[in-house]
Amino acid sequence: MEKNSCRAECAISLLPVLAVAALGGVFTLVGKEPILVFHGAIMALSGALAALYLFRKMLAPPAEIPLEYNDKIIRAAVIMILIWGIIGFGVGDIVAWQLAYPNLNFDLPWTNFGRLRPVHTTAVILGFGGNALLATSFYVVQRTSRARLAGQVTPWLVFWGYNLFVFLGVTGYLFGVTQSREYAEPEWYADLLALLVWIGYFWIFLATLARRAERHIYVANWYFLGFIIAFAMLHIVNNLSVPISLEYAKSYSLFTGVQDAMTQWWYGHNAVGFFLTAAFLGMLYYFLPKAANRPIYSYRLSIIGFWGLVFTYMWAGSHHLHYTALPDWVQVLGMSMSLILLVPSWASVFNGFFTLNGAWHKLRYDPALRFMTLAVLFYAIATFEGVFMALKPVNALSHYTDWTVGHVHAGALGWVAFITIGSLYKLVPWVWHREGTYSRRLEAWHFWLALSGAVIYVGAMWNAGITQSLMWQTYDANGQFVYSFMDSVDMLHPYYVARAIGGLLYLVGFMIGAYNIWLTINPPTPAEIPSTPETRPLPASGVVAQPAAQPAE
Amino acid sequence: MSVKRRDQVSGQLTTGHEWDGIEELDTPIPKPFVWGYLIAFLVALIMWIALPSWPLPSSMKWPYITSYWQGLLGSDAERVERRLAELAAQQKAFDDKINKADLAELVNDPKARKLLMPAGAVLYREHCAMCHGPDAKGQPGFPNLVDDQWLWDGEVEGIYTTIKYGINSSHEETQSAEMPGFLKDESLTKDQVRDVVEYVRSISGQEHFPEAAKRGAVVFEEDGACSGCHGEGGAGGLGVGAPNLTDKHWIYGGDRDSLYRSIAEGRKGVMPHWVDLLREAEIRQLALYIKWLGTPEKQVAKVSSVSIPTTAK
Amino acid sequence: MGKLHQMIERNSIVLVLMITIVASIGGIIEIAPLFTIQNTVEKVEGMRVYTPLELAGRDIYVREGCYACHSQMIRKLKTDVDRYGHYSLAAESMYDRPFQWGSKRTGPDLARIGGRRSDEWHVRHLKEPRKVVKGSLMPGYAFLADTDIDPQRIALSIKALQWAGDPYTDEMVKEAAKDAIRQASPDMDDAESIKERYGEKVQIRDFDGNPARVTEMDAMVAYLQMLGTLVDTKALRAAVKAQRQAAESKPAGKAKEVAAR
Ligand code: HEC
Ligand code: HEC
Ligand code: HEC
Ligand code: HEM
Ligand code: HEM
Ligand SMILES: [Ca+2]
Ligand SMILES: [Ca+2]
Ligand SMILES: [Cu+2]
Repeated sequence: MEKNSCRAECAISLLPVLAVAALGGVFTLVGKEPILVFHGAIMALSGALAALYLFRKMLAPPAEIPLEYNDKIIRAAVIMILIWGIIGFGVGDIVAWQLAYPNLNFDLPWTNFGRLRPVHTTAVILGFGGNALLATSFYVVQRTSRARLAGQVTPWLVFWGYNLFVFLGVTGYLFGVTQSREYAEPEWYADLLALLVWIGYFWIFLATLARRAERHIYVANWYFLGFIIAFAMLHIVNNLSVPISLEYAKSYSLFTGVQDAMTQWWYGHNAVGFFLTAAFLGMLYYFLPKAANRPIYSYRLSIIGFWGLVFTYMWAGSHHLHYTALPDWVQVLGMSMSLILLVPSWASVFNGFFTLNGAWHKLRYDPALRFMTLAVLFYAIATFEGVFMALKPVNALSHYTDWTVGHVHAGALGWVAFITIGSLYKLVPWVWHREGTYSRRLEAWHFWLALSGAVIYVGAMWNAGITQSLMWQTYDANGQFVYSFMDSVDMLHPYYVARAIGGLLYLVGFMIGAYNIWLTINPPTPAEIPSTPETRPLPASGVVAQPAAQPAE
Repeated sequence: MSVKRRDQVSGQLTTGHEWDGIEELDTPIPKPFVWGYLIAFLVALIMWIALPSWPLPSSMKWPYITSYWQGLLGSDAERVERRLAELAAQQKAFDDKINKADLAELVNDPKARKLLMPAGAVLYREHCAMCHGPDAKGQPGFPNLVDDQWLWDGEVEGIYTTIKYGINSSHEETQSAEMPGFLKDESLTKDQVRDVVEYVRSISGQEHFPEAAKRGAVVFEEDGACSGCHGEGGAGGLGVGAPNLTDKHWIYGGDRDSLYRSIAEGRKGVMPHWVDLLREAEIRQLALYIKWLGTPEKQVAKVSSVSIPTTAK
Repeated sequence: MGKLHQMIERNSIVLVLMITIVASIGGIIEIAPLFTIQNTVEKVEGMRVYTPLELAGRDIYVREGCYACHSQMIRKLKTDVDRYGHYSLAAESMYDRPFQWGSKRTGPDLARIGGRRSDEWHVRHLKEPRKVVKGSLMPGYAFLADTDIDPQRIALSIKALQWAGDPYTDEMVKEAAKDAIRQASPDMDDAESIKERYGEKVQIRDFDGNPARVTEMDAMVAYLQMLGTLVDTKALRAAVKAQRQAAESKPAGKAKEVAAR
């Protein structure tokens, strides 16, 4: 049995923790804006609590590390997925209703559309999506390495630090603290916190891989690793900025104008590419074959898909800036690379679908597998559509319209959230040692609500977007416009109502799912399966206990 | 550990690895992918040659990379300039017809009216409706354009000038007119202002206090404080931008509060100038549109956003 | 492929390095040359840094998330140019940190909104958009008129921008807090002194209809009223035309030279 003290790990972790606490303390003392003082106090408090926790760990006698996978951290992240999911989808639906009935803005600072919209995107992408990735990557890396998660305290610091980062972001926007960088709106101090968290995440992942008992690193982990590394690069470069002082939250970007545009969309597009795509593909590569109980269709396709994605995505960001003041040569590179990107994207689609060969019948009674399968379908649609929209002539139509929003949510609702939900329905029983979810019928309800919600949403936005762009471009025989801008706004109302209803269905479905998961965790009639060697897949012989005996590399 | 197995369903060999029960098949890459990559790359290559693309090192000194492949077809900016020039040439025929015609004649041409109203309505909705209202009947602070009451010249040429250079706008040739704030510059007392309010209400045929109105009349007419701009009896029409105060049309309102504010604090409505922002022909069409809209013999076209007919091809 | 990749996937460090390298290439090739290729940002007459009041307005624009609905980028497309005016030049956002080009037009493009509306209209519209434009989807921002600007913060901002490399002079930095007030207070004795620092085109007036205070509404309207007004696009177009004509006559000239030799 391995005994371990936390001296080194705790001592090293103490540095960033104290730094966060100190920065928070300074804000609390000198801050001139209430929101900054509030953020400072929260940072100081969390830092102090974390430091206390570290001190206690350091002074405690060496503890026994249980011969088990670390599933506690995963359980915590699952709860956060549900919380951020409900917040994110809820706010998404609120802003959807605001566009249909603008009086719902209430004309207050903290309830208006411009401030709530980033709350939605951050809560769903970083909150819901980020916690889903923490949970599943920690789960997958342990199982596919047959090793316990590295670190005694770092996973917890990462988990709490990450959620604090999202919390600072979201509450900041409500009070006007934002950098306005899409999907990276949190201000510089939150960005710094995120950077520290990310270093910890990277270390955990690598150290866990290092103690693996498998010779090869499984594909899912390539994707998770790619996501962690790429996002670190993106995050650091995109957020370079000059704070105006410690008394105010405001900072200015180090980049200006056209360079800033390219940097932001290099980030923004690859936030899609690595956060919303690569990492969720990691999820797919584990949970789909597990749920279908089938081997991955093609190892070689995995390789092409992975490296193609990692290389090509990074070139495509400029398709968000077609026909703008960004120089043509960058636009053309973005367009052409987007085209090439279809191939590695669909490599994963093929691998997903054909992995189901021999398991299609399971779709009939397993809603979780249905979620995953539909996720692959939506992924196929979103990537195909994305490539199409990246062509300049098509983008001339789609850009600035709701077509883009439709595309986003085909990816977001159909791919990101579906694969997460499907995986959750598998993962929750596994980490809580249950035979299955509380109710498959509720799973099925969730599935049909989510599917109809997504289809209504995406359909409405496609129609709205295409109508909009056609109205903007229609000339009469004399070369004069046939519609004014407001004409196109007036036309949108029914589509916006439909979208908001679709979003509501989606939200209700998710709440049913959360209820189902809650009852799976806390069953009305407790029936926990005892933790026997069979349910605890870590080999009892103790591969983990002697990591040195089995050199992994 | 590495034991290859043949999968029953697909007949493929596995790679022999297994992670937590997951295996991989060693299926060869499906042909469509090889072809897909090839075709995508070829198409990309064509784009790179035809259009501006790769950055190029063009100097041996730092920073080395100072240019890029210009592409055989040239840049967007050039293409747009060329296309705009082309279309401008096409449009010129149409524009010329409008620009060369006499506005005063066009305004009485029913055929022109039928042809130009729809596009005029679009221009109006795009650039003017947010101030003068969707039906051109104005809104508080912005005058009604269909009531046959004009601050400035209401003939089509006059309207044209107003649109072109604006009122109190930032253009040098703007028409300027200001309603002074009589309380603000202390030329009247509060009581006097209240009296004048009553007088204005009396000449516009509203309920009023006759005593006060009588005192107000003195200020208005005899002291010449107001009649100099608004004319004898407040009938306007002096062409200096001061409105007629005897009708029921108000820019800012005929209630006591609004009148008091107008007189005590003054008004200086701003109508932007459009000379550099719209084409000459567009400004002319707008002037015609406004004139036609307010011309009573035809029914006033409903300027709603629905079902505006196109000038059919 | 298989053999080589087996090596990569057996060694996590190699995998990390490979990913880092492969993922860096695209960004480096697309972003770095934007700083070195000269004509990325054209040289145009008239561009200047934001005045303190305009900058305050811009910060509010960012804070309220106006970019979520409004673009500030007229694309190089006929439809965009016809509706909103000359296409936006890179130079026009050269002092924008961050850029505000936007990706959604729930509302119209604002790149050239300056001068197209009156101050009064802006104030009323920002307070109650649907009172002014039926069917508008825009939230109301009446609270802007109730909040005074914070000159001290603006001064810090200008200082930070100078540090970041924007051409603010030391005098501009020194006067920033006062300039913010001056621009919205035409009655102040030295109000006009802003023009010495920022040029003749600076608009000095009470923007929000409340001369007693310098509010966020003043700042917002000052910002909106200068958008797209700095560069004289008409002159620019003439210059481009002349340049093109010169370029078109040149190759012929060159050919002659070569022939003569
Ligand atoms: C920013 C708001 C605004 C916009 C946009 C606007 N106007 Fe005006 N307009 C005004 C105001 C205010 C006045 C009255 C000025 C005054 O009170 O002295 C006015 C006056 C006029 C007049 C003169 C009325 C008279 O009685 O002499 C005409 C004609 C007119 N506008 C037409 C137009 C047209 C056509 C357009 C579109 C191209 C337009 N306006 C756009 C605000 C606007
Ligand atoms: C220097 C010329 C001038 C003088 C003197 C003047 N006015 Fe005016 N008045 C104007 C102008 C110009 C306007 C239109 C302002 C606008 O539309 O922005 C106006 C507008 C008004 C209005 C608002 C009309 C409406 O439709 O809402 C009232 C009421 C009014 N004046 C009353 C008076 C009275 C009473 C006096 C004398 C005490 C007076 N004016 C003196 C020029 C003048
Ligand atoms: C929910 C979307 C939304 C948000 C957020 C929003 N707007 Fe708008 N905006 C619109 C719409 C729709 C219109 C067109 C209708 C109208 O004129 O009100 C518009 C019109 C405008 C116009 C008039 C443009 C023109 O050409 O007539 C200005 C100026 C403007 N908005 C500024 C702002 C500013 C400044 C903010 C932030 C403080 C903002 N908007 C936030 C939707 C929005
Ligand atoms: C109940 C479900 C949801 C609803 C009702 C909803 C609604 C909305 C609305 C109304 C907008 C603003 C669109 C606009 O500006 O016109 C939006 C934007 C966005 N949402 Fe959602 N959303 C939902 C779920 C999600 C999910 C699950 C994700 C991601 C995982 C997501 C990601 C985004 C993104 C990235 C944008 C910005 C799009 C852009 O900039 O073009 N949304 N959403
Ligand atoms: C090969 C794959 C893809 C390509 C080439 C692609 C391309 C595009 C293009 C061209 C746009 C429109 C940009 C604009 O006009 O503003 C866009 C927007 C977007 N896409 Fe994709 N897309 C792909 C896959 C995905 C996927 C899988 C998602 C998952 C969620 C996604 C999320 C988004 C988001 C969030 C935006 C909105 C950005 C914004 O304006 O805020 N995309 N994409
Ligand atoms: Ca940030
Ligand atoms: Ca003021
Ligand atoms: Cu993209």
